[in-house]
Amino acid sequence: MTPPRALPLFTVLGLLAAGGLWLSLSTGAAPLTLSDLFSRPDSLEARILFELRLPRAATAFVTGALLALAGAMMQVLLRNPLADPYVLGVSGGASAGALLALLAGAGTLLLQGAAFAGALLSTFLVFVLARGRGQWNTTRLLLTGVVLAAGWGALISLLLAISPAARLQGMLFWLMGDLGYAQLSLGGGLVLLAAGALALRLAPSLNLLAGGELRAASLGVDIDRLRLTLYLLASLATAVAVTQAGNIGFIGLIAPHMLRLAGARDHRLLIPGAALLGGALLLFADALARGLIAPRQLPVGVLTALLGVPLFLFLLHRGREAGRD
Amino acid sequence: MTEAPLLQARDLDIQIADIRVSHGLDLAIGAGQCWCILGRNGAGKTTLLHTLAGLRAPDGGSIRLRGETLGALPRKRVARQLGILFQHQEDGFPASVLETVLQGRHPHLRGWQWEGEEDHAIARRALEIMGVADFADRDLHTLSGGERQRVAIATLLAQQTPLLFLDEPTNHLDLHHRIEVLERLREHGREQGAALLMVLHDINLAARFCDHALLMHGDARIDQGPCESVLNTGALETAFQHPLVELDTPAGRAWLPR
Repeated sequence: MTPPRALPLFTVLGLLAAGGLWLSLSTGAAPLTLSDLFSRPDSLEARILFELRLPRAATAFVTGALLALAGAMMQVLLRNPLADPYVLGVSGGASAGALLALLAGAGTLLLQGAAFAGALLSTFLVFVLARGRGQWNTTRLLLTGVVLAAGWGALISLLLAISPAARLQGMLFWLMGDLGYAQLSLGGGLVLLAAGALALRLAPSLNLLAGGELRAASLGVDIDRLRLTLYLLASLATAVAVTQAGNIGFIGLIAPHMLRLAGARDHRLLIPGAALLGGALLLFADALARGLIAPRQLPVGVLTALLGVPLFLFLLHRGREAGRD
Repeated sequence: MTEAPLLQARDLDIQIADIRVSHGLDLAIGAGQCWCILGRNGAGKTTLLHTLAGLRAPDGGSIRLRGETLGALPRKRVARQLGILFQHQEDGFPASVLETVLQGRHPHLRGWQWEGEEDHAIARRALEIMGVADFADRDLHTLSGGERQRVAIATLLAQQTPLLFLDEPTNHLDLHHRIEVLERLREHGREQGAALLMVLHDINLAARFCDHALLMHGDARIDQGPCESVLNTGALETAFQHPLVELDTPAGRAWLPR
C-alpha cells in the first residue's frame, strides 16, 4: 500500500522537471522552434539543440538530482537538518583539484579528472581520520569533515591568490558552479540511477536512523553498515556532481527540505522526490543563468541561491503557519 | 513443560570502564514471565538491558536468543524476536504518531516495501491498547511527555515480539497511567505468551506487576528469582543503601523509605 499522497506529489514533480527541460532547451542566444528542427534535421538549429543544449540540460538534471540525493542522505547520516553534500569536505577536495588543473591550463577532461580525484581523496581522508582508533560516531565524522573542509578552503584561497589574473574568472566560475563544461556523459546518469536505486532500497532504514541510532538498531537496522553505505554513496554522488559542474550550492540543502515541508517525510517518497526536484530546480536555474542577461551567462550556482532562498523561506513560513492550526 | 527459554545468558560478564556490572551471571527468561530490574542509580540496569538486547557486546559469557547466539544473528531477525523501549526518546525529523508506530513493523517488512493493511491494523490496535488512538494523525512534537511515552510503548507492541524489554516504561507517566500501562503490558504478555523485562525505579510497582526480579547491588552482585524471595527488606536496603519499612497493604506488599 502506497500512501495517497504519492501520486499527486510525483505528478507535480514530473511536470516541474518536464517544464524545466522545456525551458532549458528553448533558452539561449539563438531562438529555436520545433518546426525548424524536424523539417531540417541537419540545420544549425538542430545541431545547437542536440550538441549544445541537450547535453547541458541532461547534465543539469543529473547534477541537481545527485546533489539532492546526497543532501538527503547526509542529513540523515549526520542527523542534522543543516547538512548538505559539501559539509564533509568532498567539494573542497574537488575544488582544490580543479583549481590546480585550471592553474595549469588543463582541458575539460583533465579538469574533471582532477576534480574527481580531489573528491575521492577527501572522502578517503575523512573516512580514515574519522575512524581513528575508536568508534565511527556521528560527531567525530562531522568534526573531521568540517575541519578538513576548512583546510581545503584555505588551500583554495591560496590557489586563487597566486593565480594569474587571466585564469581567475574561470576559477571563480567553477567555484560558484558552472555547467559550461557540460558534456553528454553516460557515467553521471549511470551513477545517478545506481545511487538512486540503492538509496531507495535503504529508504526504510533511513526513516529509522532519522529517529535515533539505538532505536534504529533495535528495530532491525545494521547501523554500522548503513552509516558506511550512506557515507560512501553520498560522497560518490557529490563527487560526480561536483566533477560535472563545480560547487553548485543550495540544491543539496533545500531540495530535501522542500519535500519535507510539502509533507513527504517518509524517505521512500523523499528520496525519489528529492532527486526529481533537485534535477528540476537546476534545469530552471541553468535556463535563467543563460537567459537573464543573454548572450552573457551567469554562474548557475548564483541562480540556485537566488531562486532557492526566497522559495525556501516561503515554504518554511507557510509550514510554520500550517503547524499552528 | 521443558521448552527452551526465550533468552538465556550464561556466565555473563559486563563491565563499563572499570565498573563491574555483572560477573558470571546466569539467567533464563521464559515465555509469559515478567521480570523487573531494580537497583540504585549507576548500578548498570540500562547497560544490562542493552547487553541482553544485543546492542552492546558482553565482556564475557554468552547470550542465546531461542537457542541461537545473539551476537551472530542479523539485526533484523533479532528485531522480530526482541523489542526494546529506550529510557529517552530522541527527537528525530518530524513524524506523525501513526508513522512512528508503523516503524515498529519495520522488522517484518522487506526492502522497499510499504506497510500493508495488516500492518496498519496492528499499529492502530497498539495505539488503542496504549490509549493514544485519538492522536494517530497528530505530529509527535505536539504531544506531552507522557503521551509520547505511550506512543513509544505502542511502537514496541506493534513490533509484536515474544520478548519485550522496557527501560523505565513509567517515565513521564502520571499515577493513573503508570498503573494502566503496566497492567496493559502484563495483559499483553499473558495473551501473547510474551516475556517482559523492565527496568523500574518503583519497588512497589515492581512487586505488584512482576513475578521475577533482578536486584542489582552495584558491585556485580545480582540477586535473582521470584519476587517473593528476592524482594525482601534486607536485600532492598543494601541494594538501595537506604533504610526501609515494609507494609502489608490491601494493594499488596509495599516499602516506604524511612
